[in-house]
Amino acid sequence: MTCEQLRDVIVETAAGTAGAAEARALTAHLAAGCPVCAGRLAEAEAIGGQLALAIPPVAPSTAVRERLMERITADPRVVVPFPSERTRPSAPRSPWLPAAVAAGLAAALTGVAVYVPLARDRDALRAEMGRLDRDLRTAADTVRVLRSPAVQVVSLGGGEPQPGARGRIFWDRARGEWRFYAAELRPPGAGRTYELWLIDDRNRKIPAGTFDVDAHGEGELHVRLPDSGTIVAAAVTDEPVGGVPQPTGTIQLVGSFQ
Amino acid sequence: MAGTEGPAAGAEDLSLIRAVAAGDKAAFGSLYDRYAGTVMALCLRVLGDRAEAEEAVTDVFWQVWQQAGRFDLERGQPIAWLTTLARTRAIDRRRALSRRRSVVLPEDDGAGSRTERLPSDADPHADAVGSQQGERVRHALASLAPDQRRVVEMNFFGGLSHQDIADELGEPLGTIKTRIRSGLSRMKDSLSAAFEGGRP
Repeated sequence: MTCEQLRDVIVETAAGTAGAAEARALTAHLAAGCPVCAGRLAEAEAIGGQLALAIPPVAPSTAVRERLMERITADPRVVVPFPSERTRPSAPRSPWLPAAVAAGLAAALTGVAVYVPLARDRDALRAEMGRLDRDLRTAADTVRVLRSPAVQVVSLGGGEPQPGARGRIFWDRARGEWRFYAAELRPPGAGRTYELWLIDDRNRKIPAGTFDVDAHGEGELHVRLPDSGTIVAAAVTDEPVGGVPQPTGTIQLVGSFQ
Repeated sequence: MAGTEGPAAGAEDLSLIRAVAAGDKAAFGSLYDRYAGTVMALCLRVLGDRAEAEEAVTDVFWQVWQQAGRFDLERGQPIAWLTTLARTRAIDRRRALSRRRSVVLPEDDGAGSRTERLPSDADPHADAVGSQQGERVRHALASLAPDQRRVVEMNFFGGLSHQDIADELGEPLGTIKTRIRSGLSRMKDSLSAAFEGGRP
């Protein structure tokens, strides 16, 4: 399934209503390392978490707590924590450092810091190793692109609505790969999203995908466009959710390859 | 007690999750006290039966105890993880019981007049913060168009799939999907604006 097809599966997953086949499709897609869908899922789950606060809480009977406390007290789990955290360090980082590289470096620097329970939790360890392996493969792929002598780096500046916004594109001409990173973009308005456009020497606008931004105003896209030799500029506009074939919104970021 | 959110609450929650992952039973108790009411309310909405909802709450927190070490910060805040677990466990239980029912918020109840309030006896500050947060979320929900609000509630509170909602309302599946997506997008904007404008 494509990212677009998975949009509704992501919402159903956050709502807990996804069917088994849909859930498997999403899991496989995420396991392949799609940062766009991972971001969308995190966002949908965050909204789901907030929505829950709209319901006045209801106290379970005290017996529920008592049973749980008895159960965990009797649980023979042995915890062997590693000396460092398993989550990504929270130190400030450059907005241009690709998330995957950061995750890969974090994993390397922390020495594959995982939480290891007993053998019965072996599946947890396997899942964690799978996640780290995916992070590292994504990081290695990103580093490969960044180190390629064929890569052209282009900066995008903020348009009139958001002069402080920034963007950067790493264009691997040989492979026709584009890695786009945005920073300090405000969330698009209700029912809107951001869409990246590649503009050729005949001023044709080629839609390169839509993206959302996180709480830090950061977003990214990975685009493959093999026949991209005539691209001379790139721009980001705000468009209706789902994107449009030709730009209709206001230019938020723009930059030239010349 | 009532669930809280925001940077401070999020940091506290994260500390609790880490402590639970390390086997800290007191931290588990604190996390339970903080969110059992929210988890119970969600499960009750989906299951419509107090005893079944309490079983689901037990499932959720047992899963938290077992899997806190797998909590992925990149997936979001602990409240998001907990509520996703709650919805999933409750819907699993409902499916297992083969008791398909639609549990939809009444139009006028502002998310929950039928439910019992959690007594506020342990952490008044957390309750106050949680109450403010809840008020903001209710306000954001109320700002949705009625048809958007209805389907978002049916999906996220009633535990009905998009197809179930389409069947229930007799409307095309595509219309329901679009309506939910638009509603969530608008919720995101409203909540972002609310939190930027006046976080406690």
